[in-house]
Amino acid sequence: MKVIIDGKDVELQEQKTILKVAEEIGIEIPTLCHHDGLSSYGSCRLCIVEITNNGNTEIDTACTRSVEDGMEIKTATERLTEERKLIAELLLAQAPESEKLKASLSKLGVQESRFEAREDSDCIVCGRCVRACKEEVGAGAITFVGRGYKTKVDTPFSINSDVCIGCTACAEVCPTGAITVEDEEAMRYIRYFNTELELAECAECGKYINPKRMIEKLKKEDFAYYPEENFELCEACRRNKEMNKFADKFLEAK
Amino acid sequence: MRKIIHVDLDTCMGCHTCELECATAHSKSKDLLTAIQENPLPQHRIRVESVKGINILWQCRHCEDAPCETICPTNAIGRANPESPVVVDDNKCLSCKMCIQVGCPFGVLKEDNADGVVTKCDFCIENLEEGAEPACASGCPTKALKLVSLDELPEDKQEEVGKEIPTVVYKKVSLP
Amino acid sequence: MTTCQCGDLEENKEKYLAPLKEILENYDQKEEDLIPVLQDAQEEYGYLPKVVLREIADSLDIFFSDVYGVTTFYSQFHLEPRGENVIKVCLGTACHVRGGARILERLQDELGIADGETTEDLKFTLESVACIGACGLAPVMMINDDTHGLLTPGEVPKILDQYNQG
Repeated sequence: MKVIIDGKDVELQEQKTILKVAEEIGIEIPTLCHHDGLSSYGSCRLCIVEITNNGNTEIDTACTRSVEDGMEIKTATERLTEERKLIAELLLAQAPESEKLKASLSKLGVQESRFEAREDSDCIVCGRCVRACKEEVGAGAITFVGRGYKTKVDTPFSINSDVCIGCTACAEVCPTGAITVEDEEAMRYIRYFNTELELAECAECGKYINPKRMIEKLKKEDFAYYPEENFELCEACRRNKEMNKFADKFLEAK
Repeated sequence: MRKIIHVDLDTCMGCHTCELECATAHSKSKDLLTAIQENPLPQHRIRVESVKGINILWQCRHCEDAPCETICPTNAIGRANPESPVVVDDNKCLSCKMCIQVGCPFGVLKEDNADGVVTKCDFCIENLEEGAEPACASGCPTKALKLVSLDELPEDKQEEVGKEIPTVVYKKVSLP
Repeated sequence: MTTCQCGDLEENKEKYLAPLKEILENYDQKEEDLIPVLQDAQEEYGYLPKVVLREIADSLDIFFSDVYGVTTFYSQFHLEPRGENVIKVCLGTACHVRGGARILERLQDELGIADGETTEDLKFTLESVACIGACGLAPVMMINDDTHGLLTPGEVPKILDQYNQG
C-alpha cells in the first residue's frame, strides 16, 4: 500500500489510521479527543485532513480514517488551517473558561471565540473520560446525557455513582480540566460527577490510600503473582515490607 | 543473548550515585549540572535504602507476568517481545494510577512529576539497543551494578532469575 | 393512606418489576434489544423509572450508564411520570405566525405548569412541538390523539374541561 502525505511517499504493510501514519513520519496533526490509549472517536474534528483519491478530494478526520492505497493526504493546507480555526472557536465556546483548552488551542492561533459561550460549561464533549471509564477501566460510571448542543457528561440521574472506582482517569485525560479530584480525609470527591468514595487505610501506617471499591475490583484480577496482604498497603509500606523480606533472605543466605 | 543487571550488595556502599545517574539519564538535557536546574526535576527510578544494615537497591524487577502489565487497562505497560524489559508507553497511559496504587507488589512505580503518567525503570532501553549499560550500572563507582549475560552467572544464581524474591537483585533483558 | 408503588422500596420491587420481566422474556436479552425493550417498558409503566432502567441494564448485561444515556438521547423516552393527557402545542412556523405562543401561554396559566412539565395530579403533561403537520388549522394543538385547530386562547379552558372530567 502506497500513500503520499504532505509530498512524502510512504509505504505501508498494514492498515493504520492517517493520524498514526503521519505521526510515524514526524508530521504533527492537532487533536484534542484522540488518545493513544483510547479508541478512535473523531468528536473534536481538529485532526481533519484533505484526502485526494481517484481524483476526488474530501476532508475527513485523520484519527478515524484508515489509509487506502493511492491516497494523497495533505495535513496543513490553507483551507484546513481556516477550518481548524473555526472548529477551535466552536470548541472554545463550549468551555470558555478553560485555561487548559486555551493553551492547547494557542498552537492554532485561537485564544478567543466569536461564538456565544455556552453557559456553565467547561466540557467540549470529546468523550475521552467516557471512553476511559467505559472501555478501558471498565467501570462505566459516566455517560453522555442528552443530545445535540445540550449534551453533557454525567452519571445516571446526576447522583453519586455506585460503580465508580475512583481511579481518576477521567480527570487525567480531560483536555479542558473540567473534572477535578479532591481527597479529604477518608473521602475522595469527584465533584463534577457528584461522586464520592470512601478511601481505604493502609494496614501498616494508617495513611489513606485508594478507594475501597478500587481495591475490591483489583483483588478480582487474575495476577500471576501478588501477595494478598499487599493490596491493603500503601506504596511505601509495600516497598518496606518487601525490602525487609529481601534483607532477611540475604542475611540468611550469608 | 539474555542479559541481566547483577547487583552485588556487598560492594554497594550506598552512595546513591545510581539514583543521580538514573535521573540524569531520564532528564531532558542528559547532563547532570543542567538536569538539576530543570523544572520539573527529573526523577530517578532506582532507589537505595539501608535496611537492617544492608544497602538495598530497589527498582523494577521486570517481572514475568508483571502485575502492573496485567492491571493496565490500555496495555500501556508491556514488553516489545517476551525477553525485552517491561516499559511504559507514555502516550497510551491514562494516568489511572491503578498500577502505582495497587498494581506493583514492590512499590516501584511512581507518577511522573511533569504529566502525571507512570514512570518506572525502563532498563535504559535506548542504551541497551546500542549495546551500552544502563545508566545506573555504567555510573556505579564500585561496579556493584553490572550488566552481565545470564550464562556468566553461576548455575544456582541463574535459577533465581525471575523468581519472586531472589537473594540478589536481578533484572532480565535480552539484547539483539 | 397510599403506599409507595414505584418500586424503590425493596418489598415492592419484585411485584413492581413483574410486568417488566414478562416484557424481557420476549427478547433475546442482547444489547441490541435495548430500544425496543425501553419502548415496551414505557408503554407498560407510562415512563421509565430508575428501578426499571436498572433491571433492564442488568438483564441485557450492559452498563446502567449506557441505558441512561440512550434514554436521555431520544425524546420519546421519559424519566418522569407523564400526565394522563399529553398536550402538544404546535410552535411551528404557521402556528408561530398565527399566535401559537399565546395558546401555550394560556395553557401554562390554566395548568400552572411550564413547558415540558406535568401537573401534580398527573392529569396533564404540556409540551411544545415544532410542527404537527396541520398548518391549515394553525394555531393547533393535540391532546392525546385529538386535534384541536383554529384555536383562540379563550377556548383553552373549555377544551381542558373535556379532559378533566372522568
